[in-house]
Amino acid sequence: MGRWPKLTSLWVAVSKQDRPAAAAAHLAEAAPGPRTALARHHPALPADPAVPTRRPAARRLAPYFYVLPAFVALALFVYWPLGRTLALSLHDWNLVSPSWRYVGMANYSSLARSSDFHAALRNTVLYTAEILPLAVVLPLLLATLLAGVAGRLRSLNRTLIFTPTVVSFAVAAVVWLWMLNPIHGVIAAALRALGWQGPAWLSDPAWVIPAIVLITCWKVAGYNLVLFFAGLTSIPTDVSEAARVDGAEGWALFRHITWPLLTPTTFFVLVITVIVASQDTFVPIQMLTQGGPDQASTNLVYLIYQYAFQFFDAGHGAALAIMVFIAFLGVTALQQGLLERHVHYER
Amino acid sequence: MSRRAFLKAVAGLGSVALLAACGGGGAAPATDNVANSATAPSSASASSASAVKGSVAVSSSTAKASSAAAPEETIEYWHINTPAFGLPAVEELVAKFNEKHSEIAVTHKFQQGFYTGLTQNLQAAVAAKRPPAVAQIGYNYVRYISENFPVVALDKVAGGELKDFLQRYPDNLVKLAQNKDVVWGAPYGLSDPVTYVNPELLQAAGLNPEKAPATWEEVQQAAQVVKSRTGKYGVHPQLVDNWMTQAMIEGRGGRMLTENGSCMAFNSPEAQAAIQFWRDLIKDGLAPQATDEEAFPSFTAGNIAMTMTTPARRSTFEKQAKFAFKLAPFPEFRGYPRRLPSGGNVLMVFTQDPKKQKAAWEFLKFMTSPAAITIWVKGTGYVSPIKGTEDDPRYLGNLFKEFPTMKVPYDQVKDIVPWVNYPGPRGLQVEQILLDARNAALLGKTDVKAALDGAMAKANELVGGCQ
Repeated sequence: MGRWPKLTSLWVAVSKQDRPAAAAAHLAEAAPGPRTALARHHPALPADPAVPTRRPAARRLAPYFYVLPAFVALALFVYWPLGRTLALSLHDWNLVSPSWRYVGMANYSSLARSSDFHAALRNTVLYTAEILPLAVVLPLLLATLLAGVAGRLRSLNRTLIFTPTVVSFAVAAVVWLWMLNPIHGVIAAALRALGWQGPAWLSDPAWVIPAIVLITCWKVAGYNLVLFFAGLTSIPTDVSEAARVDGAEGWALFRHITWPLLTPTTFFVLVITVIVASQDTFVPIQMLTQGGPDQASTNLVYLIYQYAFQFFDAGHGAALAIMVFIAFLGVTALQQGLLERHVHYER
Repeated sequence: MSRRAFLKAVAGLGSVALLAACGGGGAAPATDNVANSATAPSSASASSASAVKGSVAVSSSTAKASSAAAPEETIEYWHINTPAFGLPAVEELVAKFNEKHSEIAVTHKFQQGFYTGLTQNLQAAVAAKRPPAVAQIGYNYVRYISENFPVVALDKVAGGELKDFLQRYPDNLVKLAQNKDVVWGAPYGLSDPVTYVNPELLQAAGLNPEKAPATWEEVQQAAQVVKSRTGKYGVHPQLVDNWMTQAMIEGRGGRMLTENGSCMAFNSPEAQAAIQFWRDLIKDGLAPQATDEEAFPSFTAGNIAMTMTTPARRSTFEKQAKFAFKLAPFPEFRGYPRRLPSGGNVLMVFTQDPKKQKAAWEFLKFMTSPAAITIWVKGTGYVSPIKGTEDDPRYLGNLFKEFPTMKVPYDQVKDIVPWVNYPGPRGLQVEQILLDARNAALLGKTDVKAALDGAMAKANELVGGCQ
């Protein structure tokens, strides 16, 4: 045990040095955490003596011009619709009638009381809780293991695992529909051969979420795996070499070298996976269960769709969308606040 | 997309390109046309690739090339017909109309996502003040559309001709397009639920493969025999929407709505009995616990003896099944009259321009004429909504001589009732509430009475209170 403090300090020492630019860029790409991005892309411009001095007003305004194109795009496609959604959430509108009827907070309060909202909320948490281990932990372990596999086999494995990512989700859903068929699907047949009666995956309230989680993770895990690969490749070999010289192997090497240096990637993967968990499940829900049976597989994103485009109740749909927006804002902020402290960004 | 459909699409694309290259002259080469008995797609015309994705406009100008006069009025016709389900018929009909009426040019536009998708796009078009002149509206949307959309009532479109026009329909079918005694459109696509039977499985179970069970009680018995002798499932009624829910509840003496149509009525003892019957089929392992997307392929794979769904599914089944399935009448509950909800669509007029309305009226009259309906029925597997086509050799008479079981859905037309639409601006949500409750009951998650009572209270509250 006595060796570890030394190792850690070695790592800290090494990590404070400059990295080879390629590796650093790689890491930054894989994990565009705010601090990394800021530190790298805004090296205190005005103070730089190499920049010729211009008129103060122009200099003051210049940054605004730089961000203007991005801001216009964001404003047009994100903030304006967000504002409209917020306004719509206070109204009753069927998407057709020429006028919106103001209802105040009624949409919110009726949603808060409705059982389908509760079911969707509960399911969204369930989906996320089940997707995270499969779409974050599993790819992390696989990436770490595969990193140890040499040459051709490694890229073959990587290709195989990444393939589902490029398959259309609709096609994937149909393939899984066929495999999960409880009457004559291959999975049911395999289970029967082992003497088990498989569940009715998509029509059993207890199994429908695990089934959709499985499909979603099969689809998205490969992408996360590639992100982890990028993170792993960017870990400089000299650090792990040094650790090896000090006698670190296997778990110790992972725990004290790989894991800390991989935290920016992991954090990024975690944040996007939580957000996409409820969005990526939409396609299989829509294609395979339509939220059923009896709301057992619905989630908040699917419920928004149902209210707005199936019930043509844009007000409730908008209110739901705003609630989801705020909830995810909160979750992301929480992740930022709680987890980012454990993230080691290289300086 | 099946390989055949894909090849067809490719062939279609090729011939479209060819046509374009030739400047629109000449007839389209017939693409691979597998005359399967059911929907007998009569005329796979050139641009079957057009509807592969999204909403695609196809101007049928090739047919107009010969007529010199420029059309005075151009109108749009929205439909849900995919290449596999009726698009060739739509193209043929539109081309024929344009040829006949040189003063009008109809452009047809495929809408993805069936009637829900079409209605969504219609909303956008209405909001943009550019609605199509004519659109296919699913029977399950008639009430909602007529109460919430700027649809033009048929008598306004028809001028003085409405009474005369409606003569072509049997009385019970005119009701399909009605809400509050106003006729909102022309009933067009029509289907009623039928039973598909796997005679080989019945035979393997020692049952008479020629005689499908006529009542639900017999269906249950037959299913029991199939299960015990073959280990396979007996029956699967369509689950995806409330089409079958209504057929079961109303066929057992219940009703979905009260007499005046403003309150829910689907928790009556009769309705409970119907759902309980269905639940027992699943509980006893006679019907699979499976979604439609799982059960229908299982039927064609020979694992389910009978399935109740729309006759429009026939051509798909024919492509998949390795056995010759049969069509049989939808079962009755012993001692109760059959009531079959209508499937299909009404042609409604949305244009506010009087000139375009006039053109739309000509189009509606043409589309519901015996000759046009014959093309439509042959190309889709729908039932003819108008009188006097099924026995006439000029129209569908010969078809039935050749394929007698195609007559099954026709013999049931007298039992067709409107597909119940729920009242008010929240009516569409009631559909979901009922569907959820029914599924909870079918799965045994909730007791049948509790499920229906709960759904009814929720639905009545949603439509504005109803005690």
